[in-house]
Amino acid sequence: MNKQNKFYDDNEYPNKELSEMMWEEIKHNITPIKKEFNFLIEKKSFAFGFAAAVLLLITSINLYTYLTSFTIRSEPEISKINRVYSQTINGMEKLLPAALFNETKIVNVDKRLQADLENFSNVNQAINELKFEFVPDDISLIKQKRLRTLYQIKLKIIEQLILMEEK
Amino acid sequence: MDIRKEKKQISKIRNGNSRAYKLLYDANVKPLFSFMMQFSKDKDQVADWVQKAFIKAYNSIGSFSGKSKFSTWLFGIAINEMKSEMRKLSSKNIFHIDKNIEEHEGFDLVNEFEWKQEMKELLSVLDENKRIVFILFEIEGYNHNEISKILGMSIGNSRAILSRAKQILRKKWMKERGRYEQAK
Repeated sequence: MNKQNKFYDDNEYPNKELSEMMWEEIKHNITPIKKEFNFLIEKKSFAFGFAAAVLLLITSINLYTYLTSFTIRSEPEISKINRVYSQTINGMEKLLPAALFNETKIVNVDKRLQADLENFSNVNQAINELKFEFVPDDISLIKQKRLRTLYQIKLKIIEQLILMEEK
Repeated sequence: MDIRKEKKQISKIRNGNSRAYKLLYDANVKPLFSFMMQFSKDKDQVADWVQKAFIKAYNSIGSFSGKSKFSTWLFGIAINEMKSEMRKLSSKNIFHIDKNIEEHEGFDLVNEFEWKQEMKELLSVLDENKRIVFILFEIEGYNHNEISKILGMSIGNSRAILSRAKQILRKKWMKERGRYEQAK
């Protein structure tokens, strides 16, 4: 800048008036770059964004489904067995007459039946207490084994009750 | 204006903000105008070149890469505009040296080297390209890389032109100085 100051005369610079006049002329000859171009880009961005969001949603659903089934597939054998026991017991319980568990209606109950019913009640209580101790996704083998044993006992009791009913 | 601020303004211009161009104009109009005055003493002519340069620069702002300073690019546009106009115009508007410069009162070439006047006198003997390269390098402070971008030539070519320009100027100056000393 020093060399410019030494080389150029003051009258070789435009004064304020001339600068403004030149700017006015320039201003009249330039038009703002139209935003249509930007709108097109924004429209495309929106479309891509929307498509990405839909894909993400579908992917999330698929991922959730896969993880859920993966969780089930990857659970230990003993848990799967217990789940099957539980489902079987639920099914078989429906075969038992409701009157068996209605104390007000049963008048004559033989001792064996009473014993079975008591056992049934105790096993149920034990199962519920054990399940209460379970935290989500609890795969503690000792607990699972204990649960399996209880299910087996309960199943046996139900079987006896059904056979007794048939007689 | 530093290059980061320039980039910010250019980005605004590309997004449709023409007022941002005023800042670029304010930062570059004086250097460009004074530079162009070395090629014509007609201020109206120079104003026309400067206006056209700024208008062209605005209209093709999309093609500005941003790798160099805006002024580098702008000077290139202005020089091309000037050369194109000069081809059409006669030489009557081009700056001529004042041959009778030694007659000016108080003007003492022996005792004092007056950079401005004498330099301009010497520069007038150079052809257009040499004069442009010399002024851009020695006065405006552009390096050869930038000059090569402004004029669309190789760096080597820019160096060669400057070197040749200095040789001519030196020769001319020595000749003029000898002549005046003899006259004294």
